[in-house]
Amino acid sequence: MTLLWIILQFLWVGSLTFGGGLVSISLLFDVFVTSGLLTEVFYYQMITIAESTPGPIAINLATYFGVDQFGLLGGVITTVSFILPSIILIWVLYPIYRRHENSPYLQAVMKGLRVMIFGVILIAMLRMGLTVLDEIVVLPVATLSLMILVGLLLPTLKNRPYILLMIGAVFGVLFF
Amino acid sequence: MFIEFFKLGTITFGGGIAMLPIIKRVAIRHQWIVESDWDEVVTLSQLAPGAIAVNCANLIGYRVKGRLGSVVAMLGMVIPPMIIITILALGFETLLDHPQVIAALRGMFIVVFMLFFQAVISLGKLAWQKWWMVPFSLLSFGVAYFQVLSPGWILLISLVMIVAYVWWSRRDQR
Repeated sequence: MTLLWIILQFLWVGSLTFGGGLVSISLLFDVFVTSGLLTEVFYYQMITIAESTPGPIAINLATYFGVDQFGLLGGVITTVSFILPSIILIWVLYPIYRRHENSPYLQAVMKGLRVMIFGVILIAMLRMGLTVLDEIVVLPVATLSLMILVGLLLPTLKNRPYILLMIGAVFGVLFF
Repeated sequence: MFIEFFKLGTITFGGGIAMLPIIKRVAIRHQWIVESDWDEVVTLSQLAPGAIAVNCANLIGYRVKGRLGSVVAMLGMVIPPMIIITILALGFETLLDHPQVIAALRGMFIVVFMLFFQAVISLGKLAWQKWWMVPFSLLSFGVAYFQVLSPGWILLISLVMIVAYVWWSRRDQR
């Protein structure tokens, strides 16, 4: 794996992360895990940390991977590579959008891509779900009671996910 | 503007949709945008690829001070998480040997999955507005899951096909 290959991968993922960071979990799985660079376990540890710290998840994943593989500068390079396509596309799209706000193309792309993206996001959910299922098999009582507790608190604490994550950490230390 | 976005980058958890109302409040208070512009900012932030919150900073900066503005706002937004993650990534290399840290992360992952699950459900309600859209999602799911094509190519090909379809159906009307 060369730095150049990684930069190209992040430019590619950065150009295709439509509709927000969730889809980047599937896209980066392809770059990191399917290619054999990282184990699935480590990837999910990265996701856990990326989700528990401030900032968009895709940015956090890019920085984490860069620092982990190439050191301090690597984190800057991967993150910039991820953001660069969106910077340029917005500079190009903005004037076009202003002129063709109601273009049928824009509407169709937004709605249509959302449907296709949802399928790609479902893959990440299935894979993560299988990992959770493993935990349920190994530690049924602890895992299921944590899931029920979080499920009950989720509607009220939706905007304060860090409280839920802290509960998860305490549960993990005590029972896992 | 850099300072305000730096603050936003420090306090916002969860990213994307959760951050938008907070960004809106700050942007309107400083009169970077007016209320009626907000819908346009949200639509474009989601239409362009990348993290929604970063795109949002990019657009607001661009409207205020052109390309320089968008770079400044975006840097403010991403520098705090980059610093935090860098410190953690360097620290975790040794911390990941501790069984207690691993245990805490395992517990937290269950929570991450539930947050993700909830986000997927609300996205599903938005994506599947008509019944015939379901098989299309399942198609992209299947093609990517069985590694016929990587997910990136599926999205790119879908994009081209959607544009081609709209072009074709409009030509039909004429």
